[in-house]
Amino acid sequence: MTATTGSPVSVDGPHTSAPTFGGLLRAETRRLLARRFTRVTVALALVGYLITVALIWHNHHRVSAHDLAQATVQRDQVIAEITRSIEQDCQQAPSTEPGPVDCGTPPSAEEFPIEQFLRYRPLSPGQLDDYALAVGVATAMLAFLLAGTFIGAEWSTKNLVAWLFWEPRRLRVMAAKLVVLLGCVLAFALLAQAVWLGTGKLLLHYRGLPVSTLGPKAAHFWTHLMQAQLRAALLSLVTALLGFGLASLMRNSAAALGVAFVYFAVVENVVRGLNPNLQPYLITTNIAAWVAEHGITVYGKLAYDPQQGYFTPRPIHISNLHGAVVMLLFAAVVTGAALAVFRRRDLS
Amino acid sequence: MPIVEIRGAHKTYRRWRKPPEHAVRDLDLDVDAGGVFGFLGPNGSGKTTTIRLLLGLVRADAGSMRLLGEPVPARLPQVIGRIGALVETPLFFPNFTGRRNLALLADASAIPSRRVEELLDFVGLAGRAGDRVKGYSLGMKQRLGIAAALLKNPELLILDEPGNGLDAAGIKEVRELIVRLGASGVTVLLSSHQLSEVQQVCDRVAIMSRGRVIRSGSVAALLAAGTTGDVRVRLADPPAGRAVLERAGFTVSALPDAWRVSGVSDPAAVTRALSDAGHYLTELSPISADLESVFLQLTADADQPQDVRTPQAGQPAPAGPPR
Repeated sequence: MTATTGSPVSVDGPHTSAPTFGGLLRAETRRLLARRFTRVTVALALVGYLITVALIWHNHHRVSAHDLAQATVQRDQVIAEITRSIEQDCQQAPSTEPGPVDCGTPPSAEEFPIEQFLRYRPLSPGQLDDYALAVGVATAMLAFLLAGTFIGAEWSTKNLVAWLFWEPRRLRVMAAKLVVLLGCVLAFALLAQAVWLGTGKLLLHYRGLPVSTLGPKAAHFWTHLMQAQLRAALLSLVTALLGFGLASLMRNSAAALGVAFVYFAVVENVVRGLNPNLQPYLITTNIAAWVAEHGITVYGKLAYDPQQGYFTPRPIHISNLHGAVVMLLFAAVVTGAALAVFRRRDLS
Repeated sequence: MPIVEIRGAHKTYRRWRKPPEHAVRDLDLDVDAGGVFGFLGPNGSGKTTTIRLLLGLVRADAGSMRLLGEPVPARLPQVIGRIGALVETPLFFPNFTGRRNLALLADASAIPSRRVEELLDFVGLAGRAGDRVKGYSLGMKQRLGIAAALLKNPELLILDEPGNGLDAAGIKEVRELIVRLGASGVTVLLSSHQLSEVQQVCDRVAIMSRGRVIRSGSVAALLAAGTTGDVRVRLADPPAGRAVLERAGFTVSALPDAWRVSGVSDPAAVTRALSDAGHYLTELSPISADLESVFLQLTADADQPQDVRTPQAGQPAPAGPPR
């Protein structure tokens, strides 16, 4: 130790007080952003994103107005032929019952997506929704990993104990970590969706169909897309809470990942197989219900249908709200348990 | 007023399918402000648990504690800014540099980055501050840990085994640092099992065994209480002198260049026995106890199945039997 002549330690010097919550937030933010794991995973996610965009670009082709007009004519011809064929069949069919014969309704243009009549497959506006969901799932998984390793690394290095030499109020220390983590995860998820929105617009412009080809749905297309993106982005908050809570309870990132894998890959499938009526209480089902525009319908155990006269799987509709509430309950229970245990746990 | 005050602290670790472990039992301890206070005890005696109790890392089952006059853990947040601590292994993020690790702590308490640089220089890590901590030797991590503990410019510095992993030169440097800190007015609570180091830097000590403080007081008083009663004797004719002493009933053993005569209640009895036989001394000096022998004697006594009386903190204990 090559101590300098002037000692930086003096009882007469200024003493510090316990860190403010803002100070803790500042330090945690710096740590999260400086972590190698954060940087590497974000970089890998960016590479994955660029590869996906490149593949979308490569697999879709620009459509000229002429191609589109030609395809529209073809589609209209097909619809007209089908309609004519239905009418002919209907006139030739022997009437067994009194009154006019019901030949069904002729097909509409919405039932024949325009891209089916194009030689090269363009990107359809409706696909932006699916890709937004994929971006949301990817950021949610990333959020789980980031959250789990963020607190797991502190347990494995025992650095959490070092923080308590500075701020002994344990819940305050954890709250600062959670606020920073959730803030950064949400910002990242929103940024990812914003980037996809911009990329999607460009892809549609250069490799896709105009939104107007959606017909009556075109008017609310962008609003619906952004709502779906927001739901997908908010999913990251739930997975971050689950990752943080599990890693904190297990005091280890790898253990948290293992538990998550066993739960999602084994437990949920076993429950789904044994008692399908429990699906509304499974995390993955509720994630799907949350991100889908009007929720989802799953099928429970067989039940007698008096109208059909036989047993059919009972349909169970799970709304967006139900999905959100159940997901948040799971996240709150895991995180709450982690905080409660940490508050009382003896630390060595 | 004591800067550290513990009364009747009790901590039992209860683990599933294992017998309860009484880490600290009815512990009383006072540490007055200023100087270096040594906290000694064999492994598992409860030193680290006591420090963890003070810092709120483990919960006491019973008893009361005060740090800097405030009851802890209730008011620990109010005084933590005046306390620096290094408990066992220094805790850092291995993939961050030494500088970044300190900067994170400094950031939280709005400590200027200039102070980080000062302390890195102070502990001799300025040249390696940009390296990742995982590449540091244990000694370097210890020094970084001391720098982290000093960041707050503490009034009370708690160091738990700061010499762990340090080579002889490192131990000497840490010893000099602790002496300087003690002299500067910082109260240092030094937990260690390196007794020779403690003897050199501490002015007061407490000795723990089996979760209790079995002795506490000034180092000088402890050493005086632990006087061996042995004397060192040098003679012109050592073999003949030894025979005379043994005939007189003394126990004689060899030292490198003299005899050690044990069980001497009055040194005059030695001179008398030798002069009566026509032998004359070239040296007669008492062999004083060192902290290690006092420590070993006290902890051995405490391990005996007897009711150990804990003396009042700060009071020297009555002298034990000469060995």
